[in-house]
Formats: sequence, C-alpha cells, structure tokens
Amino acid sequence: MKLLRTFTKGLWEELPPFRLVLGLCPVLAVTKSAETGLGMGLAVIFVLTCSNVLVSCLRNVIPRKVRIASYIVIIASFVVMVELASQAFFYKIYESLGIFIPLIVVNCIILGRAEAFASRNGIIPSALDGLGIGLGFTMSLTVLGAIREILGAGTLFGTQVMWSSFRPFTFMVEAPGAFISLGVLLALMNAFSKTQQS
Amino acid sequence: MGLRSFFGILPPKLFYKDVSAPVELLPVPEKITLLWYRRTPSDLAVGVGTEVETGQDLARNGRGPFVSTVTGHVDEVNTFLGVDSREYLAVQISADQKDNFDPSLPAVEDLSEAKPETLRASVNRAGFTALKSIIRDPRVWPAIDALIISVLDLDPLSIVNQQIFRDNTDQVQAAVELLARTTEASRCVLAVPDNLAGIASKVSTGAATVAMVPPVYPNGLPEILAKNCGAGLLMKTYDTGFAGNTVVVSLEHALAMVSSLQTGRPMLEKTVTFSSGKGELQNFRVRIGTPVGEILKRASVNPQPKGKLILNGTMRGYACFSDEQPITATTESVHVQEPSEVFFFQNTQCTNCGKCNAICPVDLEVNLLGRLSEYGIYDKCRGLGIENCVECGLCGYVCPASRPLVQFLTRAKQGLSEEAQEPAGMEEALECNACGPVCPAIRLFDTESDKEDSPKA
Amino acid sequence: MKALDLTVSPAPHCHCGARITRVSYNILLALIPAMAMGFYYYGFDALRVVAASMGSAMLAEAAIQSILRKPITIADGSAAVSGLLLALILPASVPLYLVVVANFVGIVVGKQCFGGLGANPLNPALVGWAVIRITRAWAGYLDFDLALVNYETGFILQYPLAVLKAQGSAGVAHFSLMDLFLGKQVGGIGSSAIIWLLLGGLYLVVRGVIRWEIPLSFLIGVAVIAGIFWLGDRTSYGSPIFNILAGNVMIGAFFLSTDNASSPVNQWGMLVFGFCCGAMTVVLRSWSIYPDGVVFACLLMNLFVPLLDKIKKKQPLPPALSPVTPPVMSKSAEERSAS
Repeated sequence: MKLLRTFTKGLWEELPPFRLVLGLCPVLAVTKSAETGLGMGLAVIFVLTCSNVLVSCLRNVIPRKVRIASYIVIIASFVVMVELASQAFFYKIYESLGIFIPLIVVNCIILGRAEAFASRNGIIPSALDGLGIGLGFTMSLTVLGAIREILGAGTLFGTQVMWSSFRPFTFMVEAPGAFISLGVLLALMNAFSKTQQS
Repeated sequence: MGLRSFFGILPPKLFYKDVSAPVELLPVPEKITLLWYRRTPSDLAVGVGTEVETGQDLARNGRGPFVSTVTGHVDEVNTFLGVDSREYLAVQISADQKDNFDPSLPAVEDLSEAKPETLRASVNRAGFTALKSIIRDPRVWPAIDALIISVLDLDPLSIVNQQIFRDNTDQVQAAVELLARTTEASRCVLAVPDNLAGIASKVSTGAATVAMVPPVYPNGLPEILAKNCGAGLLMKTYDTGFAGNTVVVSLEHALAMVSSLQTGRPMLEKTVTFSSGKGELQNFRVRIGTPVGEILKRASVNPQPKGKLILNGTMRGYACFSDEQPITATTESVHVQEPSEVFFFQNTQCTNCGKCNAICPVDLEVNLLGRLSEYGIYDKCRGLGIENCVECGLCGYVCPASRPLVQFLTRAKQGLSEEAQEPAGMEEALECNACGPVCPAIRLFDTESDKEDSPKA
Repeated sequence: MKALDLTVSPAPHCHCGARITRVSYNILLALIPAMAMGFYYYGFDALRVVAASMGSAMLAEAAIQSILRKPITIADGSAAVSGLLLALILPASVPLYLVVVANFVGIVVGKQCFGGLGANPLNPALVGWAVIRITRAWAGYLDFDLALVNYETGFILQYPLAVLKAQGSAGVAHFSLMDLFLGKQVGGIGSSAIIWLLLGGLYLVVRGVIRWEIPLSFLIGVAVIAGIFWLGDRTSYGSPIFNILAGNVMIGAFFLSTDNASSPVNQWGMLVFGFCCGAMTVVLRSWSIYPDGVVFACLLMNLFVPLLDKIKKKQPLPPALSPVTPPVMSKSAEERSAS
C-alpha cells in the first residue's frame, strides 16, 4: 500500500510542473508539440528511474560532502545514454529537443528526487518514486504539448485534427503562449483541487 | 449641493461661498443639552434638580471649566454617544427665558494693564474648551510661535466667520491685539479670504499681519492654515498627541474670548450656517446646547425619511440620526440633504486614476495609501507621510470609484497608533460599535442603492 | 434621544459626481468621430469589426466574471472601451475570429487574471493586439497594404510607415502632410483619423477624464527622437511631423497609453512615461521589423509603471513630533531636577 502511494503521488499530489512547480525550463521550452513533450517525458522517466535506483544503491557509499557532484555524475551518465540512443533511433525528436536533452542533467526534478527521496530510501521505493514522478512529468508535458500543438498548429502528434481551413493560432507555440497555457492549466488545477477539498 | 467645482485640466476646486446672510438670533429654547467629552456624573458639582445660573461652572472643583449657558434647572444627567461616535456626558437643563448671570463671574479689571497670566486664567475660567491649547502650562508646552485668527470657515457650506467679519469689522483689531497679548505669540496673523480683501483693508492691522488666502477648500482647515501662514505645525491639545507651535482660532471664538475678558461672561451663543439642497444659506445665532431641531423649525425644513442631517459641513462633518442633537461651541453648520442627494460609498476597487493624488492638499499618495489600508498593510503607510493627512475629505469627494478613501486613511492612522501603543491620556481609538444596534440606517456600502451604476436591463 | 428615519454615513457627505461609468462613456464618446471616419471609408466591414470587438470584449468579461463568481461589471464600460480601442487599430478587413480571440486573451489574460479593472498592469486592448501580431500565421491580416487593397477610398492605398520603412523618406514625399492630418491615409479603422482623434483626445483632457501630461509628453517624445533620427539621416527616416501624423501615434498618445490602471499616477511619472512611450515608438519604427511601434512601446512602458510611480513629489516631512508627555509627568520631572 505504501509502495503504491509512493508511485501514485507523482501522478497528482506531487505532479512536478504543476504541484511542485519544478523543472519549468523544459516544460516551457519543449512543449511546442505533444510529440516533443512525450519524447522529453520518456527521456526523463528513464533518467529519473535509473538515477534514483543507482543513487539509492550507492546512498551508503557516497560521502555526504560530495553527494551533489556524485549525483550529477550518475545522472549525466544516463543522460548521455539517452542522448546517444535518441540520436541513433529518434533523430527527429533529438533534433527538436536540441539542447534540452543534455540539460536534463541539471533538471531540478531529477536532482531533487535524488536528494530528497532516493538518498534516504531503499531501491524499490526509489524506483517506484522515479517512475511515478517521471510518468507525472511525461503526462503534464504531453498534455501541455497537445494543447499548444492543437491550437498553435492544428495538429496532434503530427496528424491534422482541426478543419482544413484552420489558420493556426501560432501564438500558442511561441514563448508567451507557453507561459499563458501553463498558467491557465495551473489555475484550473488549483480550482479543481479547491472544489475537491471543499 | 451648492458646491461649485471645476473640471478640466486642473483638478476640481471647492470654493468657499462668497455670500452674505444676516445673522438671526433665535430665542432660548425650552431645553438645552450641554456635552462634556469623556466625563462621568461624578465630575459634576450639580445633580438633577439643581438650579443653575447662566455662566455658572457646573464642574466639581478643579475638573472644569464646564459652564452653563442658560438659567434654569438640571433635568437629566446621562451619557451620550455623540455624532462623532465618542462618549460624552450630557447635562439637560430646562431653560428659563430670562438670564441670571452668575454673580461670581470675574471680569478682568484693567485690560490694558493686566498680565498675560491673568488674562489666560480669565479666559480659562470662561470655559473655552475649544481653545484649550492656548490656555496652557508654559512649562510643558513650547512657546506659541504664531497665532492665526482665521476668517475662513471650516467647510464650503459655512459662512459663519465671513459674516462675523463683515458685521464686526470694527472689533477685529482690538481682538487681535488683546489675543496676541494673552497668548504671547511671537507672531500674529489674520487670515482673510481673498473675496473679503476690501473689508480687510479697512482693518488697521497693528501687531498682526494680514494673510490673504484663496477661498478654496481646504485652505480654512487649521492644519492647512498653519502650514501656509504659520510656523508649520498646528498645536493641538495634548489629548490628540501632536504638538506644534501654531495656534489657529476662528474669528468667532476670538471675539467671544475677547468679550469674555471684557465682561467676564463665557461664550453663550454660537453662530451656525444652515443650508439645504434648495434655498439660500441662512445664519442663525443660537444658545449653545440648543437642539438642531430648533434651527430646522425656524428654517421650516424637515429632513425627509432616508435623508441626511449633517452637522459641521458636508466634507468633514457628521451625519446625525436625531434632531435633538445639541449645537456645541464647535458646530459650524447644519446641512439637510434630500434622500436623492445622499451619496453612498461603494466597495469597488481602485482604478488607479490618480484624481485623489492630484487633489490632496498635503500631497499624499492617496491611491497607494488607500489600497494598503484596505488590505491592512499599515506599516508601509508610515513612510508615505500618512501622519500629514488632515482628513479634509477631498479624496473621497473626487474618487470616481466612490471608495471611502478618508475612512481607509483614518483606519490606517488608527492602526498605526494602535501598534505604537499610545501612552495613557491620549485619545484612544474607539471601536465600540455601540452605534450599530441603535443606528437606524448605517449604510456605508450600499451597492444596490446607487442606481446610476447598476446595469440597466 | 428620539431617532429619526435618517441616513447615517461617514464624511464626506457629497461627491463631485465622477463615476467609472462616466470615464468609460466619455472615452467612447470621444472615439465616435474616429470610428465614424472608419465607417465612412471602409463601410460595413469596419462596422462588423467594431461590433464584434466590443461585443466579444464584453462577452469575455461577463463570461470570466461569472465563472469566477464575481459581480459582473460590464456596465462600467471599461470592457467596451478596450474592445473599441482594439477594433480601431485593426484594419477593416480583419477576420472576425481573430478579433474574438484577441479580445478574449486581452480581457481574460490581460485584465481579469490580474484582478479586473484597476489591477491590470497592461492595457487589455494592446495585449489582444500583440497576441495576434506575434501569431505568425495571422500577422498578414494586420498588414495594412495587403488588407486594404480592395477598398475605394479616394486616397493613396499605401501604408505610409511601410513605405517609409521600405523606401526611405523619398518614398513618402508624395504623402501630403495635410492629407495625413485629415485622416486620408491607410491605417486602422479609427487610428488613421488623426484630426478626429486629436479632437476627441482634447475633449477628454478638457473634461478631466485623462490627464494632459501623458499625451503631451508622448507627442514630444515622438517629435524629439524622430527629430534626432531625421537630422542624423534625412534619407531613411521621416520628419518629426510625419512621424506624429502617420500610424498609431495619435490614438496611442491620447487613448492607448492613458489607460488609468496601466499608467503612472504622479505628474513626473506620467511625463517620463509619455516621453519614453514616444521615444520607444520612434526607436521601434526605425530599427525593428515592424513598421509601427506604438503598441509595443506602450506595452513595454506599461511594465515600467510600478517603477515610474516611485517618481513623486518630495513627501512633506512627517510632523517632527516631540513625543508629548502628559503634563503631570514633566512637572514632576522638573520638580525633581529642581530639588
């Protein structure tokens, strides 16, 4: 039961971009389409889960004073794996994500989970935590990307969903559109949880 | 309203009335009520049923002065919640039509020879509560730097001092000289509105300088006069907590004080301006303690249901809920509003138009202060000079959003002084809400009654 | 004491009569001549845009306020004003859905999200315009040369500022300054009716609805900075008078930059604000890819308003209060020192 909670909390209660408001840089930058959002999310799931597991394994070995540096080394090695793999197999996504894949290294969600959870818990809870938070992150990015893509380009995962004469509202795929749609989603989530509470 | 205001490039201006209305003396009413601020019946030397004479000091030894303004007998002694929502001790006296003056009233023997201390003691005995600041202990208070005798009125709807200046021009000079001697002020200023320049030129000024003041509200307020013609800061009585070195006395009080020095008799009558939505301004001279109803009866104006009866002017005055409210020594005017003229504040938010900033006579950032106070952030008000607010009411008068700005600022001042924990003896912030249950129509925020702003179907 | 049936409320007991509604309706009144010129030149198309814009602005305000369960305040006219202002800077041929989207974004995101009238840091009409301007797929609708090519108006169908940008001052030599002043130029529905905007703006100034500082310093800012550019290079930059008479400067000076909530309140703040708006306008006209820069200049300066509000008259000194000691205490202190 406790393990299940460790997994599910990342899906709503501690949903990274909306609840923790962490890792906003990739959230704003890569959600131009649902596809890039999903790709980024999958990369984060992989890195987060693996780094959580490894940090958890080594938590009694790593000296306290150099822990951040060690975490970064661990995370960076997984990021390099993701980068090389995406370069090899998903070149299109690799191109559209650009600098943001290497930047996963300093993504505060991953570092934050390593510091706050994996370094204090066992391997299985850490893996579940990484998976849950990663899934939540992927979900948020995909939803945000989908909204921006539908309004800003009229497509969803590259297929046309709006009518053919639709002149896309490209404002949504520009930077201000990212901020506004993130803000609106945040507001909706807060309003929803307010009604849940009362 | 009868208030003239100009719109345009310049902010609106409220001009004092430039009219003359003869003063009509009203007979002594059957009953008068005398008010004494924050006292208890134990401070009185008299009880119910005691016969009193005009000018008699009703206070127990050393607590006064508190003088009777009529001859008669005491009917009732009780506490009274004044229009300013402060508690008063009220003494009701059934008045005889004929005055028997208290024989013990001391007149100063030789005015030209008397020492300032003697003069001050005499004025004090005559019960000039409104002038408490002059009758001071020189060991405690700094010396008076400037004495300003103001011919301006406190409110645009009041013409009391103007009229008295017109009627008693010949007495002004003597009064100024005597008062200057009494107070030992180093400088004496007679503040005259521009429109009375012709009359002022006939007054030989002597020791006093004559300052011509534009007849624009709020130039007649003591604080503004002190700033413009005096040494800067107004001296107030110690129970308000501010100490300056300028004293402002209205011409009517100055003349009454001089007459008390000459005859020994205290100030028995007060001139008030009566105004209503229609009709001319009227001046009435009534015995202090007369109920407002007497003036309404004489002017044959009856306040209509849901209308307003305002003492002391529309800008700073108080709305009262009864026509038995007595006229006091500081009542300047009585104004009656029809229900259609009654203005209601609204609970709308500031639109940041800056009209209040433009009109504020002491250059406060009223829009900011109003919002800070609205949300209870009083600390930030301190750095913005909120202590300078004179509560002239102009910000509330011009606000297009009809916000109660004066009340916001007052609340902030109150909040700040509560934080500072005033020492005992200062005016305490009264928030008793005692008026709530008895008040017939407290409607500060009445959004529905403002027909103009409600959406039309 | 016998209580009468009277109203009791705190001072002041009178009011000068100014209302938010009157401010808004005065602005609408002042814009009517410019709007009528738009109807005259562009006919039904202009009417269509104005109606859709005002309607959708009010609808957006009512919708968001009912969703947020706030009192619905479309009767105060501020939404109508921002709808009309947006319509007047758009070309008459613009598709209606564009107008609706711009108004919804402007009102909901630019105004109500920040707390409604008075709390908006940006002018909602300008936010709406900026949203469609930076939407790449829609920006073409705002290109006056393309948009207004099918109209018969009786004057040169070229947007003066675009011509200036493309060909330098030689290209605009055939625009008579008088024609520009009389509103015979291509532009937004109302923003090209220079003389009528000027008259409407002066009416607002005289009525005290807007303060004179912002429009005056706006125009001075445009003239001074344009003058500097023009003196530096007469072939590629327009003269100061041309810069004032062409494009959105007049509507910007009197209507767009003077929005109460998004402009400073203190006199010096307003002067600086207006001047910087004007200066930024010319800078954007000269160096940016946009032919006109009024809207972006105003938006940029709106962001500086909290800073500009700190420029104020020297505060009067707080009364030098010697803390007042009650008489008895000081007396005893004196006695003590004497003894």
